[in-house]
Amino acid sequence: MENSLEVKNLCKKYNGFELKNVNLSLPKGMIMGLIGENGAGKTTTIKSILNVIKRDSGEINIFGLDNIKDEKKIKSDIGVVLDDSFLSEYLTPKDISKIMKNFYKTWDENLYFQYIEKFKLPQNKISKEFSSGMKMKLKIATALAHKPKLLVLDEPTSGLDPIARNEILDIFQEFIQDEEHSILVSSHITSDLEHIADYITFINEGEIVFTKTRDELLEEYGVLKCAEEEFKKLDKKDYIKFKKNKYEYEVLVENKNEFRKKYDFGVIDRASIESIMLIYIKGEK
Amino acid sequence: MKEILGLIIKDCMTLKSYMKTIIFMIILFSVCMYINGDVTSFMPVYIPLFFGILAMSSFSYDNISKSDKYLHTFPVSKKDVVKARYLYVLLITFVGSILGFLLTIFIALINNKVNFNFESVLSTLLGAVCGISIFQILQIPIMYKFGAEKGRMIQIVLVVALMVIISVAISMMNGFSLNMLEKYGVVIGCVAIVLLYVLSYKISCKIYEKKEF
Repeated sequence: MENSLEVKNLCKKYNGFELKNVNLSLPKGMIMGLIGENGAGKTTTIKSILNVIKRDSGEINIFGLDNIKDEKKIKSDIGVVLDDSFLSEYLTPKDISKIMKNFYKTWDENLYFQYIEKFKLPQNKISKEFSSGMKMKLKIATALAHKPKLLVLDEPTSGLDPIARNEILDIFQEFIQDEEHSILVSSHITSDLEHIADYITFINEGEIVFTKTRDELLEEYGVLKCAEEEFKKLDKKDYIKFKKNKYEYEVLVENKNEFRKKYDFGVIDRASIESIMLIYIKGEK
Repeated sequence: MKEILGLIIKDCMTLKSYMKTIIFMIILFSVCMYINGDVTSFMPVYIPLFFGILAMSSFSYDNISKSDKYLHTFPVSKKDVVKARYLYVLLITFVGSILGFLLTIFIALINNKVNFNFESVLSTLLGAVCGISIFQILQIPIMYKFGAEKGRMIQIVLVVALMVIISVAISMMNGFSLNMLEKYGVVIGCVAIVLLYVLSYKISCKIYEKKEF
């Protein structure tokens, strides 16, 4: 399987924060979700991929090309949504099309206005007057209109209501249908990623904890809920981490079927991505 | 090349939202000058100065929407972003100068009280443009280095300095006849300003290349 994006041993050091040996591969036609708490390194990883910040070491290849050497060529085929950065809010959706067509040879005005219409955005109103959901939709329409091969999205569903989120997730899924397109998306709304991501990469304190397929995660991982006496019977190597709540223990287990064979107490539920993340970060070993 | 055009269009379109204020200011200047009567010594200074400073607001707009980070996800080099900003600032200043010149003549013609002297208008305008250029040559790298917020504070100091520079420049220019200026001063001045702009651009590029967003 060909990769759209490959990150090898990426390192970047800031004052008080360090991205350590980040490795990622995103195959064509796939969606990868990047999860982690605020400040874990999601945005730094994305910014390094886009060469908005300079990496200290490592290698980043996009469409098989180096992201610095062939920057211009690569960027013509990438659509980007950033959480906190866009064109001026004093511009209307119509103005944005007039500006953007100068940057991308493949800018498709019809497609752009189709999205604007679909998202029910007024064409002649400055985006300062938009709700945060509308602003996000405008960013997404702008990212899609030059028909990119890779979408890089930093928190694209934040600020959207559930209906709008669903609409956007459908568009993302439509986008990868042709098996050539791929998406790298960071989000702390993990339920969104559960819906659309093929791979989940969990990043914590600047390091990748794991990259797994969504199915692997949801089918294999489990959360055991048990009482203290039962918890004490567990062998440390049989679980990843545990979290002590008021009345019970929540124990994150990597392979719930194997675990079941060995222990026959407590309730093991399917682990949601959120609970995996939570117990990893907040739990103890 | 098309990317640079896109960046200039972006700045021009952002300015569009400010159009009502710009028109109001121009009318206000014009009315004041009409009433005051001394149109030839103020109008060619204030209108280009207003536009020259207005052009710098593009830094603030970019700062508010954090556009720089977003622009770097486009197939555009950092050098092009800086180049486009210089061209935009020059374009707006040029438009302001032409407008200042035309408005001065217009008001002078309808205001019979004014003793209209074409040469003096031109030399005042030249002095003003010269002062604005020096201001921009200094201010643009400062904006890139310190950002729009801190840069604006420094801008206030520069504007005051600019006022002094302009008044000195104008008084010096009034001492010459335009013929003499054409022979020596204008050519040397223009060459010096062009060279300083190039130097300022190079410095801005260096600063901007190192910046991370």
